[in-house]
Amino acid sequence: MTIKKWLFLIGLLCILSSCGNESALEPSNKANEKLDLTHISTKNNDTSQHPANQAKDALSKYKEITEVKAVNTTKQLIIAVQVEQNKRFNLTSIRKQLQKEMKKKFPDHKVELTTDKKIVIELKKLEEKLQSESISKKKVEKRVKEIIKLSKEQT
Amino acid sequence: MADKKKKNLPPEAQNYQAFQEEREVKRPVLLNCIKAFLVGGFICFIGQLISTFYIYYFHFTEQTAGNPTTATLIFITMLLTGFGIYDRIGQFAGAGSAVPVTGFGNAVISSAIEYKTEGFILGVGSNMLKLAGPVIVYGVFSAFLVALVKTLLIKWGVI
Amino acid sequence: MIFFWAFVIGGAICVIGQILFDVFKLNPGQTLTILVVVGAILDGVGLYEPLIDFAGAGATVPITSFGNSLVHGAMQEAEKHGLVGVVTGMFEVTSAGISAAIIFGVIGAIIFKPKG
Repeated sequence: MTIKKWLFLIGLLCILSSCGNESALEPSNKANEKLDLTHISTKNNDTSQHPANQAKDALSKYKEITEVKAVNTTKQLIIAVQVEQNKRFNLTSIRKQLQKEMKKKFPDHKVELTTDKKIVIELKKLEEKLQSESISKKKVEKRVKEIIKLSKEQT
Repeated sequence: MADKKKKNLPPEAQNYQAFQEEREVKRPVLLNCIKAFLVGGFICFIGQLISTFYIYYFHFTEQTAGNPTTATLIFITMLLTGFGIYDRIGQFAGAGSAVPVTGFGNAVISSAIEYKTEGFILGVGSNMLKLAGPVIVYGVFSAFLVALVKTLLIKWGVI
Repeated sequence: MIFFWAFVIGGAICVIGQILFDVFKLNPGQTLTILVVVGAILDGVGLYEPLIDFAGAGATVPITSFGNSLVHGAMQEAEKHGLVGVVTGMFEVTSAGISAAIIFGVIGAIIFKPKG
């Protein structure tokens, strides 16, 4: 009797563990209305945000993404997305899927994609500074490095 | 399991068990569950508020905000336990106040306060982890088994 | 939105605890131990992290998250150092709850008066 109970439990665990993260994001052609897609345009060519704006456009085709912020330097690109609440159960697989896609799209940048709310907040502040031209290229690079380091913190 | 024990008892003892079950105060399970849901949910809601506060106003990310949130909740628990309020909440909410990490904190802190009369080393020091003990012991041991199995499965290429 | 789910999932885990109290007639020590072990097992099968992503504090505040962090610490260390890491890495990620409880326990014992 107890052996049967244990076998049942182990079988249940195996089934549960295979309940993996299946549903991925599906691109749609409709415009994502909720998304705030302001492109950052800087007169200073050194801090051009063209790759970041491209990344935002590429990600806007997913209707599950509710927020996207991106900043790039000449070598690095950091993107932060927020996903709608119901899809948050599959957050890890969504993040992996988007990371792969962005890395393929920008092969000559070091791409970091995160789903962390804090990084969204920090990138929003940085984007505002870029838009108002109140920040130099060196400071942007330093800030991007800091933000990437923050996104990798584990404890 | 208790039934097996009951079946082995002589008939008078079985009669007494039946008698005792009739007289036993019936627990209002549904009402208790509702109270536990409301209080437990509320404590977790407060935890989410604190977590969000740390993310917006301090240098914490979603990943790292868990630690200061736990520490803050246990600090609040210390105040509630010291003033006797947490016990009242516990009487009302049952598992709603015992299951969150605040319940763990309350168990440790209330033992520490109560055993103060027996001195700090023998009283407070020895008795603080009375309830926390099994939680830590079996938490660590089960995590060890789980991690061991998982690591071995990864090593052998099964996962 | 996450505040709503933090409330619901946190409440649900507490209801499971209440059922262990009332229906299975377990005492708090046994119930909390079972919940921690369940948390460790759920993280082993990869179900607890998605719950944290979905419900935030609703999954990190209950005691089940303690089991989850222990497994995380062990797995992280095992990735770096192999099988030995399973033994050595456990408390790397998890010290907040225990340290805070002990520290505030001693402080509480210093400033508050016992009732009994």
